[in-house]
Amino acid sequence: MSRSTQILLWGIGLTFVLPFVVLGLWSVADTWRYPAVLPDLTGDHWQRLVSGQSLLLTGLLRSVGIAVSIALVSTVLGFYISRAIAYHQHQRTWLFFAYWPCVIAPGILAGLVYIFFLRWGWAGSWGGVWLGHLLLALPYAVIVFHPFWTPQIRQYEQLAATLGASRIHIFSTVLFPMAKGMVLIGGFQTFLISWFEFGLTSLLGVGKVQTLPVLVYQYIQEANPYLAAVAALILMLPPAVVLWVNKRFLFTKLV
Amino acid sequence: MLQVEGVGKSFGKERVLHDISLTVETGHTLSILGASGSGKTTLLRGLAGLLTFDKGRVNWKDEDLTNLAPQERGIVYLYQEPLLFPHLSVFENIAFGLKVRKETPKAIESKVTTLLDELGLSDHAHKSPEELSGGQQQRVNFGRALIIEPKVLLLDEPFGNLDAQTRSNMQELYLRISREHHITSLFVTHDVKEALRMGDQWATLQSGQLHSFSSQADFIADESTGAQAEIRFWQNVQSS
Repeated sequence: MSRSTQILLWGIGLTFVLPFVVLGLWSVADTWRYPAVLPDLTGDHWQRLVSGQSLLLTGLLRSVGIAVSIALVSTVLGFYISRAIAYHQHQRTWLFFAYWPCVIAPGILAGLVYIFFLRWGWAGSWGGVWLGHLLLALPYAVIVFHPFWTPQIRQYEQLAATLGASRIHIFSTVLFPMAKGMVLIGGFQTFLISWFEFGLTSLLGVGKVQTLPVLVYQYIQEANPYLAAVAALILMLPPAVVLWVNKRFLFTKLV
Repeated sequence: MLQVEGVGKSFGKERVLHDISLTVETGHTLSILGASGSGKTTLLRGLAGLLTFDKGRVNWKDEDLTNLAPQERGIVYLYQEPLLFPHLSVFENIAFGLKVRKETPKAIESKVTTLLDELGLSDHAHKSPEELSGGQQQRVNFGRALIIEPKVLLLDEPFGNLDAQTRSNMQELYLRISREHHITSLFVTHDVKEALRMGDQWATLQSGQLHSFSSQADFIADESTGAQAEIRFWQNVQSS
């Protein structure tokens, strides 16, 4: 590897890493004002998180709960619905409906459904926000899984059926294992959609539902860079762990 | 004995199968010769329960199979491609139907080991399908179907993708295995020599209409089967 390539790679690496270093410093800063190069350090912000004194811990747990359940439900339902669409005679029409929530901004989607959520009393509730996230994640999962259903996959299904396998058995022992890489991608992506969702959560949650991204924004608005940095770092942590654990499947084995 | 009485199928205005009736004696193989688009695959898919015939009945001995789901028919449909499950080993592929039937691990081990030996695949038991040749994959495909002792085996040009030598070996293997296991089957092909070699009974399917022959001699004598053209070709080669 030439020296210029090495310098370029180091430069790209630093571009990725430096923002996290700065965030890390903010999260352990007591005060950090010009012209100090480094902040006065303190562990108070993290201690408050662990002891549950701030809103961060409840925000974190609720965000994890919503994102994990959204990923599970939208992956399982998306897999099943994408099959129904792929084998339907009007599959193009159904697929168009699935693309629709993905091409408009989440905030606009929230605006479109907001009136119904208000009328039915779902606005400002955890259930309402959860349903809003599902409106985004489920169509995305359908689009991710749709290419899996080729004519050959249908032949696999039919062969397994003539060998005596029930519908549930075919899904659990043939189709899901064959789509393992794609299922992991779909699960990971829908987790991220829900995990980082801000605009729709703010609108449908009407300030009462405080997920982690909402808290980050709130701390920034309050000019509290220390807690905003803690929240931002926590926000990055679960996706990084999921990415690390599944890197073999996510990057090498799609189907 | 498999009895098919007056089955028909249309897709929209296109009539694909016309009042087809046939009988296959238990332990026999009915060779059906037909070109692409003659309705062979539609017939087999209907018999397997993968599509519904518009009319007619399908009986096995005294049992009416017409309205049964594919899982309940005991009729296995084998495609041209071996379609081995890529996430399972050779052993697990063959054991698939036994696991579906919730047989004990001991029984599964014993039956699969015996069949692997019979198919000459003992050394490949723990390989993945992608490590096998085309012929070996088809043997696993047969094994996976045979192990559940189906009432009827439907074979849709199973050797169509194999080279001449492997194809001949597979034909020989299938004849031996089908006789040993007393298998009742429908063997669909567009190759007249293969139809002659594999069948105990013979029929042609042309434009959705089935014509059965009472003997091999009748099948060969009929100009529509192409057997006469084949004979003339080799006679010309010999005399020139």
